[in-house]
Amino acid sequence: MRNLAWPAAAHVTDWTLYVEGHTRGTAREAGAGVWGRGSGAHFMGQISLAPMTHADAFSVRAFIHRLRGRAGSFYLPIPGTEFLAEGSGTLAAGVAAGASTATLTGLINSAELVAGAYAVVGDLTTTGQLVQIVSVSGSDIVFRPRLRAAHLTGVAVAFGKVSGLFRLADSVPAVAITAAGSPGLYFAIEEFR
Amino acid sequence: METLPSYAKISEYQLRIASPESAPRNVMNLKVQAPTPAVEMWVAQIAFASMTVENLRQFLGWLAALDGRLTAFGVPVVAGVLTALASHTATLAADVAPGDSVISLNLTPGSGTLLAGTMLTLGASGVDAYQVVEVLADVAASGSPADVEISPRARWAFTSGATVVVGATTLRVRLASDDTAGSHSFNPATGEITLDLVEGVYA
Repeated sequence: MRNLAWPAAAHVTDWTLYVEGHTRGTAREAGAGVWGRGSGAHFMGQISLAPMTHADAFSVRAFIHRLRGRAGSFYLPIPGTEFLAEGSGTLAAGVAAGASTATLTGLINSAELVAGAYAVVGDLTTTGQLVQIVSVSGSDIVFRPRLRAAHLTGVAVAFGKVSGLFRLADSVPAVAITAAGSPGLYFAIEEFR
Repeated sequence: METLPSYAKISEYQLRIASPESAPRNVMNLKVQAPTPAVEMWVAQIAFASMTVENLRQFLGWLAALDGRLTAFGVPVVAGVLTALASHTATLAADVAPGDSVISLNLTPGSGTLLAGTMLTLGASGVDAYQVVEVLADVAASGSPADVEISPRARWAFTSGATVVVGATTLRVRLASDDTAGSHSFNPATGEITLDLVEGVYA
């Protein structure tokens, strides 16, 4: 199933997010990609979940199995942003696929618009994507990875406290369970795109 | 169904549902391995608590007698450890066809919510048409038939009115390999054995 909410019982303890494919072309991973500064770049990551009670482990196990492998997707609140304010704005002008800059307008909670912050451009269930802000100058931002799709003037941009849309990057992880509960688990994720 | 010897105490379960998208892919071409015939099935690794030398010998003999993947056996799905405590009885409210991922159940009215992560058992253990599935999302028992999302998908046809066991059950499995060495590992320092298992799709 797609677009599942992150389960409340799953507490992330360790995580890493990184961008893969900075040099990959727009033909994605199909093997015929153009090598250069690519707009096929996307987030990959690993997350570890804290030990769980049996009840929480059942809930998390059901969540993982509900994804039905790599076909499914889930919203992951970006770890580290959960205590930030929800910032928002809109694109002041349309941006093309491959763009790495944008000008925003109508900013709310603009204090969260800083270098290193995560932002979501557009609607994640369609062509929207997660980006990380490289630098900010007034209402102009530079970000990576580059946009995989064009976006029109007025498209929403969220920053600060945001969630990304991800899928499992590998095999379905097993939830280890003992008589005492679950010792937690680790799995790899990749941006759903 | 063959059962585990009583002296073999499970200390840890690693249980997951393999799916056609599970196979690791080559990042350059999205190539995946062919899906398993059963499409979605339980895959498990279970570790046993330390055994005495006598029990260990007996257990290795029991393993050998399985003839690799030939003989299916049961792994207990303990309430409170591998499945939620059951407060329901249930029957199928509609026929189930192979491939279904949602089944309709008559749940005991007023017995609360059927929790995600609860195991359901369809069919009888002595025949092929036997399957343990997991509830994927919470369902309230309202007294009318409730749609329940399950995984693995139904592999067999089950008839409306059939009893569904909720909670503790027995998962039918086989060794993952005909080569005994490929199906278990032994830690001489702790006396612990670990088995690699796949769901026993047939009796």
